[in-house]
Amino acid sequence: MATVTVRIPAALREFSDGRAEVDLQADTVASALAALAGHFPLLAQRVTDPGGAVRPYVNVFVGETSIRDASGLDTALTNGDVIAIIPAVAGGQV
Amino acid sequence: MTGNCETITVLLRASLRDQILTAATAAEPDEACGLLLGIRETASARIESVVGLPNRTEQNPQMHYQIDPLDFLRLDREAQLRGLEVIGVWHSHPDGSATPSATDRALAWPDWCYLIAGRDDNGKHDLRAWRFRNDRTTEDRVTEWLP
Repeated sequence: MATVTVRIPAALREFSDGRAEVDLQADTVASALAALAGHFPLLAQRVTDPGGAVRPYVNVFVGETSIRDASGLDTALTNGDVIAIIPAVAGGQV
Repeated sequence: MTGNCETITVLLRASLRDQILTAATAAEPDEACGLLLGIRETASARIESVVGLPNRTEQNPQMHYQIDPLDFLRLDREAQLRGLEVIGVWHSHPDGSATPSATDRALAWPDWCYLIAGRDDNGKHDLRAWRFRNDRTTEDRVTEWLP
């Protein structure tokens, strides 16, 4: 298992007791998010759907690579990886 | 972050307000957008830096905006190094008011700071601050313009 850090955006910190970062043991993004859900279930509900898939308006990066451009939830992790949860930011005047 | 519905005062220097309105004008007829770096406290959101970013929407850029998540990621790191955080987003409504649209409301993140640049009834530039509750209802924030 790798030791990784999950970085939580300010917009979601009300669901992580205000914590900006959480260190976890995980070998894939899926296991990291499962571990995160163990600590902060309400946060996990906003990141993944009931089936475990990342919600459309959330992006998950490992380093600077979106997991959508890698192996998705099966993306492998190594020691020191930083997983960033990035909210999609969009809108418009209509 | 509190997540409650208490009034939050947005603190923004006049120079940063002008920066947003200038960028909004320069981008017309398209929507302009960017992120707000600052410090979030219990009763206030102090904006220390306004960053303009490319509008990456795949829809009509005159009606929509989207921020590249990689731009967000990099700015989040930069903010962290400066002791700040990404506390919100700004964007413009080139032909509309400075109030949230249905799209803004649907895609909003709760308790984040939203600044919208638009036009008032007289066609003058207007900049207003909003936050969205978990149920997507909005609250017009008290905004204090700092010198």
